[in-house]
Amino acid sequence: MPLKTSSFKKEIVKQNLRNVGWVSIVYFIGLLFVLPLQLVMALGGENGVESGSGGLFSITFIFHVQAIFLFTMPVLMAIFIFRYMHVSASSDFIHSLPIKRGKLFNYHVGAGVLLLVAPIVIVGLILFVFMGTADVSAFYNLADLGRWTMFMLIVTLLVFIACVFVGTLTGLSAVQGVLTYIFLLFPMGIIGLIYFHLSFFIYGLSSSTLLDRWGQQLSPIVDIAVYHPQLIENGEIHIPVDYPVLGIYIVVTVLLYFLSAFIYKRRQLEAASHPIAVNWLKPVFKIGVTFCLALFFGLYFSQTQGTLPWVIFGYVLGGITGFFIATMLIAKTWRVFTFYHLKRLGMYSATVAALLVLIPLVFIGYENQIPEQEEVENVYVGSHYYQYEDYKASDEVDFIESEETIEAVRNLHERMLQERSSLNNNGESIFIAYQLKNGNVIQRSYDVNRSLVEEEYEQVSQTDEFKEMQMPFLVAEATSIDSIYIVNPLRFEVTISASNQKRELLEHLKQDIYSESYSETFGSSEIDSYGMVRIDGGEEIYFPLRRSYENTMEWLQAEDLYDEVILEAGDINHLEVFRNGGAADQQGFNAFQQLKDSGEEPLVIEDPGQINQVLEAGDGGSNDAYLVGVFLHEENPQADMIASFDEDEAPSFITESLQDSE
Amino acid sequence: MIEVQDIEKTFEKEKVLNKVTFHVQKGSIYGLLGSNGAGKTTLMRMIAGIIRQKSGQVRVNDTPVFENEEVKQLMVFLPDSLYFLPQYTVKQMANFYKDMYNSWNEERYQALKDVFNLEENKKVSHFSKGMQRQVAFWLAMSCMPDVLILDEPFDGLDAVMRKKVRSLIIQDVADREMTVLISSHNLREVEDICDHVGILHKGEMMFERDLDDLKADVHKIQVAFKGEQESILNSDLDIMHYEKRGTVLLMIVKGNEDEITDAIKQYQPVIFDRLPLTLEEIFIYEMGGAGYAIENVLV
Repeated sequence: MPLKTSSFKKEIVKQNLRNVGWVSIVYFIGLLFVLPLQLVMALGGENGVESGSGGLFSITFIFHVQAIFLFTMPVLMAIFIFRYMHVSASSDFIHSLPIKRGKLFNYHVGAGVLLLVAPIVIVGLILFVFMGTADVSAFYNLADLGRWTMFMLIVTLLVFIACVFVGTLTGLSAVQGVLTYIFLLFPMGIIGLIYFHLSFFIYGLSSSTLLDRWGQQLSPIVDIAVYHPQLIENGEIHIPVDYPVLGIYIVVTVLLYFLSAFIYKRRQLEAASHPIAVNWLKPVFKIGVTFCLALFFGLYFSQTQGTLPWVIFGYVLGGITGFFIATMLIAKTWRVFTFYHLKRLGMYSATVAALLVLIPLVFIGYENQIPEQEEVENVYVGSHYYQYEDYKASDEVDFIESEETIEAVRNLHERMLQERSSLNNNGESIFIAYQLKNGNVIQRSYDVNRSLVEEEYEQVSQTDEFKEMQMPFLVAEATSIDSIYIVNPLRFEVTISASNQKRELLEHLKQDIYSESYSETFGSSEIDSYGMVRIDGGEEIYFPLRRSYENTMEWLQAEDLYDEVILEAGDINHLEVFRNGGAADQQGFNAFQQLKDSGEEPLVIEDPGQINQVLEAGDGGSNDAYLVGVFLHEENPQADMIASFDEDEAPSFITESLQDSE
Repeated sequence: MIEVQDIEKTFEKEKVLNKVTFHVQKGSIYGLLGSNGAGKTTLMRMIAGIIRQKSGQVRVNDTPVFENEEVKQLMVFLPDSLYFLPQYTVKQMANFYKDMYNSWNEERYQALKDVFNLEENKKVSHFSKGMQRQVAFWLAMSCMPDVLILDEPFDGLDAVMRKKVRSLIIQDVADREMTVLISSHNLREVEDICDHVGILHKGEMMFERDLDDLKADVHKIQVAFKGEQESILNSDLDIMHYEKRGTVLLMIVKGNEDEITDAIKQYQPVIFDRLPLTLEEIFIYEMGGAGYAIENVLV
């Protein structure tokens, strides 16, 4: 027998190049179009330079197209390079050759990696050459190029290996493609779904707490899809995926590689053309599909119907659908309605039903927990978890510490527990976070109908501490405030940046906001202006600019800004007023449109004096007895804005004339 | 050379092979017979090291085959549905085999080019089915395997080509003691090439025979006696089958030829002829004895 000349099988690599080289070429051409070509066009200056600090992830280099390549090319590569594994004849041929499975796997993964890395590196080199030959500093620098190359390499390889991994589990290439995307979305989807549903059954559990914190990062697809290059601020270097998460991607890639190699070596080759190639995966797949679809249908009915029986109906319908779809996929036939499968479904349903009954019992303690007054260090009250996170991260952190206010919050909390209804989606969101003296944090989130907890809510919302928490600029140093914008309802924006103006405006706002009564606090309508404050380059903080803020209004008039920032009769052509007798089942604009379409005659107001009266009449109420359509121009077919007010707030000429017309 | 010991295999809870045991000696040509679905292909894929048995052992050269590069270097497997790398020419396929098999013999490859007379630079997929099978043999024989595993190898070959391929195989067996395992559902296809035959039925090895022994062992005899016709039936002869055609008695008898001749001579037959017996007939009688109708086992 001749001696082994070389153990490296170059023919396998050659075969892979012949087979899937085209994927590499398409990837290369794609990247060539979105990077160097875009750069040349931008340098040509036809469209002007859109400079930004997004580097190679910016709009100039159409990042979303890059992202599409990022999530299709590695998947195509993995599908085609491991296609042989899913076709019985080629699988038999390759595996009859004198080469170990592990080696075979590595040759194919290696060739795939090589073919995916090459286009990225070559495009990177081209961009590097540009740096030496043209002035590209407006677009990117060396660090940007490094970040881009690193990011592209890491994500490409992650997606590739993820698809290889899925490929070892299935025996059909089409299923491999579909399952890869499901796999890349799955961690986020399933955790979101589970959490969302737990929040139905566990009162006070926020469905958004976890997802707000790192939900999107659980799925590379979502994380990269939600990246907006234009959100870059303050010269901060942004990369579509945070560095720690990129680190996790690397770890996951390596783990998936070893896992795939392990499964590949043990994979039953006769499973080619079976949708699920690994036996232990079949029940997992079946239960997974059943469970997910049940949750998904439950979600649908919770959003559309919002009652528990409908949600349960959704679980049952989704569960049955999911179970039979999964069974059909595995059996590759639709005739699966046998007693055997029905028995399986029954067993599954019984288990899930038991869980549904048991889980809320486990969490009773969690639901009813309100920390004792003396345990509490401080409290945050707001409407959403993410506000809390932002607030914690900002410079002006000032939680509620006074005993009376903590007491008021605990009273509100207690009251909400009495009015429990975890399926209420239309109520007011209230988020409470207690920082305990022992270091623990208790976070709860509720959706309640405000009218049910009015008294307790008023106690909390009227405190200065609460107001300061909602509007941190009330306590901020005037010098730390970058600028104040006021936006009037016509979307016309005025910037106040002179420091004495900022200081004075803030002073007046403080007076008005601190003295604001509870009934004023709510219901701002479209005809009101609002302001935005940015403190030390942080997030913008909104505040309503109500006509009832007398001090502020006077100041605005004194500064000749009133006309610019407040909507007046002079801006308006006419008003159309309907009495909303509860006929419309919708709100705001839709309700107005519905009334108008119904042929009812509105009260038309054209007199400037009366218009001003209407504008000042009120800031809307909860029952919208009157709907006012604001028309800026005669010829407008549709109202530009909708206002509303309660019966007792309406100016007398409206109540009288609309009463008469009935 | 090939030892298969008690192997079992199930596909999705369905037992495909059940305690199959057989041996193929070095330099022998073994015919694995069985109807469709008997488990032949599964068994061959297992011997070729493609799939793994659930239990039992498959050994070639006294070493387990599965995931064993060295043993697989000695073997070439030709499946019933042939596969060639997409868009490959014969030449490219040859290079691929050359890279995979250390024993690749370029001279042999060149020599066989004349035998098969096929265009070397043509894409294999452009050849007809029969020509593709010739290409497969061409490549396989050029690898100079010690063990050649052929699943339904003669499908699609015309008579001339079959003869050519058969002589190639026999030549290698004679020259360098190549071991060959051939599967077929058709006994007639393999009877002129195999020296051993095993019949696989419903996942079980029904029986194995050395064909030379078998032919020497079973005889078709036509006799007629003057007196009592039936008395011979009570003799010591191992008569597997008999039928009366008028005064002539047709018998299938098992045993040593000389002994049978002696035994029959004692009855002083008027007519005593030994008739030629096809392998198929032998099987019919052998298996009829075992309680099977051959039509159910072989097509």
